[in-house]
Amino acid sequence: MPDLAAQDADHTATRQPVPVLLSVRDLRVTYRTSRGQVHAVDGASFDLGQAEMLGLVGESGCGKTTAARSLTGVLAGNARITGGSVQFAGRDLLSLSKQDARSVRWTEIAFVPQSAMNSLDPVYRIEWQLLEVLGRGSIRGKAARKRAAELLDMVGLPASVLSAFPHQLSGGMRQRVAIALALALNPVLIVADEPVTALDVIVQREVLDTMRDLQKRLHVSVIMITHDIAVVAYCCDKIAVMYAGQVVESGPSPVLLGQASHPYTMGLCNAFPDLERAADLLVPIHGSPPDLHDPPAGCRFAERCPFAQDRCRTSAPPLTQVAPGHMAACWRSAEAASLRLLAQEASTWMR
Amino acid sequence: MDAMIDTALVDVRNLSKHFHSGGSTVRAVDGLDFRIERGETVGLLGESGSGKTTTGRLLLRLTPPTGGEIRFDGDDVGSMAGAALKRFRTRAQLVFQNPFDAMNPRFTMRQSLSEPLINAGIPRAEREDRMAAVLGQVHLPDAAGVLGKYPHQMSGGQLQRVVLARALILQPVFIVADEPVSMLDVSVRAGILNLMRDVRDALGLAAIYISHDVTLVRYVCVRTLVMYRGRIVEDGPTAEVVRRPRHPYTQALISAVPVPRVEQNRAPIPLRPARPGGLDLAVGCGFRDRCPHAFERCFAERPELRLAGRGHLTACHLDP
Repeated sequence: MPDLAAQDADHTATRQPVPVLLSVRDLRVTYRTSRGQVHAVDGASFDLGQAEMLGLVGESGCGKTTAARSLTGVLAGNARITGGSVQFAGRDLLSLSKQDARSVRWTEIAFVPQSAMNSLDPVYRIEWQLLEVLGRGSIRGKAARKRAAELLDMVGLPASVLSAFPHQLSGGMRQRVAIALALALNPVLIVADEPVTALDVIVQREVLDTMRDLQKRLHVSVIMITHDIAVVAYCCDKIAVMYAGQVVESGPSPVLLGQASHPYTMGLCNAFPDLERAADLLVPIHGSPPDLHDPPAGCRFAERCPFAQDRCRTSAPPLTQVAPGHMAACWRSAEAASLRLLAQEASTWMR
Repeated sequence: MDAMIDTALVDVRNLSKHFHSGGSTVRAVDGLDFRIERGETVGLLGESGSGKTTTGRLLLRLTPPTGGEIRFDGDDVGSMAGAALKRFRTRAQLVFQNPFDAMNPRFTMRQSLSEPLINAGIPRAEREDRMAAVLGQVHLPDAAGVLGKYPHQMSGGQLQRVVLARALILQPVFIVADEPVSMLDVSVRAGILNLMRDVRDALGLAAIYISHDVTLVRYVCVRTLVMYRGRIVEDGPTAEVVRRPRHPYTQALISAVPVPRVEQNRAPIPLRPARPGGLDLAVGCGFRDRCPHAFERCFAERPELRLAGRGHLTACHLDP
């Protein structure tokens, strides 16, 4: 076993502090359903620095998409933000008037939805769709057409794509167009929901490289929502792990992937097959997430956690700092180093 | 040809499926040759549109080929009829991709699992035992509890186990699993992948896992076939294909797979963009427009699958 603690110290010591662009605190979003209120996001907190790429990771139903959508004001009709604050570049997005919020959301925060095919209008050529978005930022006429060609060039597409309809493009090209649309008005933050999930491996890598390159070149911040730890490991500076509506751990990618403090993060890392270490047995996490109609009183992972103790079932651990820039919500985070070793054993998770 | 040829469970020769639309021909599957031995677990890797799902459907005779033949245990699948076809339909089974689509929402697990048993004429008295046994095989020991449930009362992972159980219940010798875990969450997926390994080892049945996911195939399959644009470009032991890929497409594919760690040691191999409007796949190599090494011969002559190492075949003019 390599000395993980030493690596840990290295990573945290060499990190420069980055000015904070977005600060989400105790965000709560509920959906009204026929079975009552679903607390889809139930006290989620995370930060994003300027020109940083954050991976918002979690499994289906953990609230990652809902959390991200509430930043961009594109929640479903039966959803309501019931608490918390979202500080973005010095303003609280949740207390802005509808009109102000909308203007921020068009020009400063852009959203790349999950399926590029759904974000493009099938009956209009790509140029028209780019011009429409540019028009929202009062860029029109010749300048807009020039900008449209520039945007396609930025995402690595030829100008001939301007006259194409969405169905004439491959999945990867459509995803690039969706990114071009997001970049149109020079946003400072792009929220991308599973931007590469539907793509083939080679195309996925190309799109990720394009996104990372743009992020570095344009100093734009990115929140990438994904269930794929390998994708996050490849391109994100920071990771926030969500479970059952809450952020259970956040921090720099190397720290979360190597020195996780929350048992759920440890479990996720173990459950993910690694091409270069594929011979070992994968370690699944037994059970399933709690019902968010009526979440349990204590830690929401306690039911599935091999390290749960009595207090875990009765009182919820707050998200606390375990190292500079590294937050975790676990009563036993002080013992993380020894729990990590245990978590690598398949027998730990067998019940 | 060696003496093994008679013992292969599945023997595919020059298998093709061409679709004709508006005067043009789509070569979805274009001249496949491969064999699956008894008890062998083979991965079929390919990107969307490579023809891997069509290949799976052809293997189970869910769609007729336009050329070539499939021999199953020595018999020509295309000419099977009556009792022989019925026997084939019990011995070769499909595992569906999306467990929520694969199960009838109005059927309990008991109804879903007993349907194939009824079709196969298994007497009522035997059915309960068979169902309990197969649920045990997929690690759902509480048969009584599971059998009374409807799909919406179960988690995705449990449901995928039942889907697998339904494929196993007639004791097939061959299963085709098309993207068997792509709809599942990571924490659940690991359990299903382990289960597939257990089933592989315990039942010794032959299987072909169709997937775009190299890590899945690496985890479950002993041998791997790589498809690109309707053709097999590489066929070899999985560990070899992953560690020392021979075909330029496989090399690019492996280099692009992200690993769940911060140290990403492999630099991706850049490919040229695909030729807009597609290629004429009737001549030359199907990868010639994107391949970083393409030369004149690749445009003129179709590379055949040839032995490039121990049990490792590749279809590339670069390989001597």
